[in-house]
Amino acid sequence: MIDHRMVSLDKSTIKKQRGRRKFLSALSVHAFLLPGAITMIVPLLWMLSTALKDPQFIFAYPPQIIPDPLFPENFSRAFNAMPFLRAYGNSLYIAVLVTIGSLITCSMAGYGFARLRFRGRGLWFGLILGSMMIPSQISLMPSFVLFHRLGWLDTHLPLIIPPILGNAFGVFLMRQFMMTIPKDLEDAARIDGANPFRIYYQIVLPLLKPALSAVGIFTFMGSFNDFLGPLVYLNSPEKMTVPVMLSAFQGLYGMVQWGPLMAAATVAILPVILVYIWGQRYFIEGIALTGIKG
Amino acid sequence: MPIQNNLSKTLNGPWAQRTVEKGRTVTTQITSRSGIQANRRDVVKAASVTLGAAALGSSQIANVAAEDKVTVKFFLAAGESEEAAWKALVDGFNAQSESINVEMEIVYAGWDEMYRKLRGYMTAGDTPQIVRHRSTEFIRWAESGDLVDLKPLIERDSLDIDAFFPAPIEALTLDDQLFGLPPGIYVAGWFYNRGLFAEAGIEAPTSWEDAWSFEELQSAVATLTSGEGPTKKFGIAITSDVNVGLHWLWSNNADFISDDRTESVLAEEAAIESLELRRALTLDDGVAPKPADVQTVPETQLMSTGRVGIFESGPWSIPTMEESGIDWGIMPMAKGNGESATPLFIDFFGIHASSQFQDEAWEVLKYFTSPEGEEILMSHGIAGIPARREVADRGADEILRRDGAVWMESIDLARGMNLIANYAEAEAAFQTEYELMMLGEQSAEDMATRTADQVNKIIAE
Repeated sequence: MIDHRMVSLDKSTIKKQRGRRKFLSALSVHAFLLPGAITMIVPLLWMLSTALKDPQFIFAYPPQIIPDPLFPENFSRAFNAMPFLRAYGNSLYIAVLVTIGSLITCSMAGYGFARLRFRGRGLWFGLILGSMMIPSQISLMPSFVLFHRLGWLDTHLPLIIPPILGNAFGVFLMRQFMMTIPKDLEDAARIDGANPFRIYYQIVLPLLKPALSAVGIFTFMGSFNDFLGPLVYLNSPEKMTVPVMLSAFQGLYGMVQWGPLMAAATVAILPVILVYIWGQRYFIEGIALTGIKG
Repeated sequence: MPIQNNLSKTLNGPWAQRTVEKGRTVTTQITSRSGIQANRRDVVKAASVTLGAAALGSSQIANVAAEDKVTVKFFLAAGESEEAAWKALVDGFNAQSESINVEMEIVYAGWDEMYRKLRGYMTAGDTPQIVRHRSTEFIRWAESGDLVDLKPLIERDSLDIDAFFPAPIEALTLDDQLFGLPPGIYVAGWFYNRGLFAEAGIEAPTSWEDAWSFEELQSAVATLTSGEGPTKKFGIAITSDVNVGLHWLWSNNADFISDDRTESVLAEEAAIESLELRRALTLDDGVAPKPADVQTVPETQLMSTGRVGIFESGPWSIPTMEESGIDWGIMPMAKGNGESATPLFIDFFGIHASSQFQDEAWEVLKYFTSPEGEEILMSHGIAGIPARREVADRGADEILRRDGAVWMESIDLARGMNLIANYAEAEAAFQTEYELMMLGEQSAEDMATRTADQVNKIIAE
């Protein structure tokens, strides 16, 4: 005769053991992730803390984690000293335009390289990939002269047009992602009479969400944080972008205005964080499916 | 040769240059990149050539504003805190000029970025007329022929050059040619914490004649040093900047680069002795923070938070000291076996030889360095001590805030650096070896020898 009490005891023991194992597993994972998370989040918290500190307490010892007294004047100093809101608007509109434009051009180019057969396809793709190997600093001066001759200096065009038309990384990522999509869907559409553009637009594009999200986030962050381009191509303060404005708080002789700088930086990172939070699920999926690791 | 023409309006465009008669006379000197100057007929020819060249993609952007004024570009690097002062200077000129409009372009990020952009403009054939150059870049630009010699213009207009302090004018002279004018004078000096000095019962000298000897300094900073760990108070924060720290060498009859600028003399005995003192104060005596320490908390902040007795810097640190709320003062720097000396930093205005409208640029430069121009900069608290003696005498106390006499006296002891064309590389070599010495990885002698070897190679190149 089966002892039911023993069976139920065994079941509860197994359940407990499973629970403990699960707990230990989660604990070890979190113990592994926690130092990484702290390393990432402490500089951000320190930035926020410094942004709210009176200048004389910024380097005080022992360091103040929570500012006392709170010194929100750093924010007003940052915003009043420079046309910061204007720069913020400039950065946002440039980044949004570049992101939208890049998503269109990269997905189209990626589709072409992944699906269409044409002469020199491999060569052109190799050339596009090769352009990623050239550091932007090397092409900076020739680009400067070119934009000068085009009359584009002190306009936002050099910051918008070239990134939209020459986002090699985006093209590569899109192409890699499209290679993973089964061709059967497109074949079915083709049998139904769809032309390549319609297949791209109605069949492929809706399946590209993860890749579009990854390219979008990368492009937005790259454009919003671009420092060298705006610095070199823009002259007028009212056309400047946020990263250049931030550098203005650093004087020529090491006299950094830490409070306003951190206040401005705190505000500056908000769009990037928001875009990342919004697209992170697709972003991770996109990166994983294309085999690219950061 | 300057020419009189009726150039009044030039329509801007990247591909073409066109002049339109408007019946108003401006004096314009047109100088080609090779230095050849032209008469009016040549201007017409040049315009034709320019139109032709434009078709091939070569262009010179004309710098004439739409409102009948010749536009002169003033190009500089500056931080946000300086911007209002430079704008006031430019506005001051524009308000009183009927024929010239100054357009200012600030590069915010720093000197390196400014020079990167300047080279871009030069490559594109659109060189700004007036550039504020970094003091250590003087030789590079003067020797390259990129700067206009101002002496003939000064003589032509009978500008009283003696109204300026002689030191900055000498520093901007090379082979009897004057390649720039100073907006102001920066020298190095010692800020000290009056509270800490009073607590330690130490009195700071008030005149360069009474400057401490190196031995007196050692004793004083030992008394000023107290505590341990993160709250330790140091007697002195010794700069690792080769230029601000040149006085350690000069006042001990030594130097970094020889007077004829053909070799580094850092490996000479007097120089090693001076370096060894700095090493010993930091590593053996522990009275100065190590360079690695000041990377976490900069010297300015150590001083501002009352954790250091003496801080080596210049008048550019005065606003920070005022904001810090500590009771600070200025004292002369200690000296070794030689005479007291302080380095002179002249971030100067130069007119670029490859730019157009140099006569107009000279008019602007005269205003920028006039008593009126200096007053504007002084009222905004930038550019250091005014370069004109009368302006400095009138307003130095206000700009220097405390112990102005120590700063003013130092101008007579100030010396220009022995610069070489690629001085930035020499600075970097010194910096690297100096930090290794301060990490205890090499002796002062090894540091000096290795730096001198590297600098000699740089000079040879």
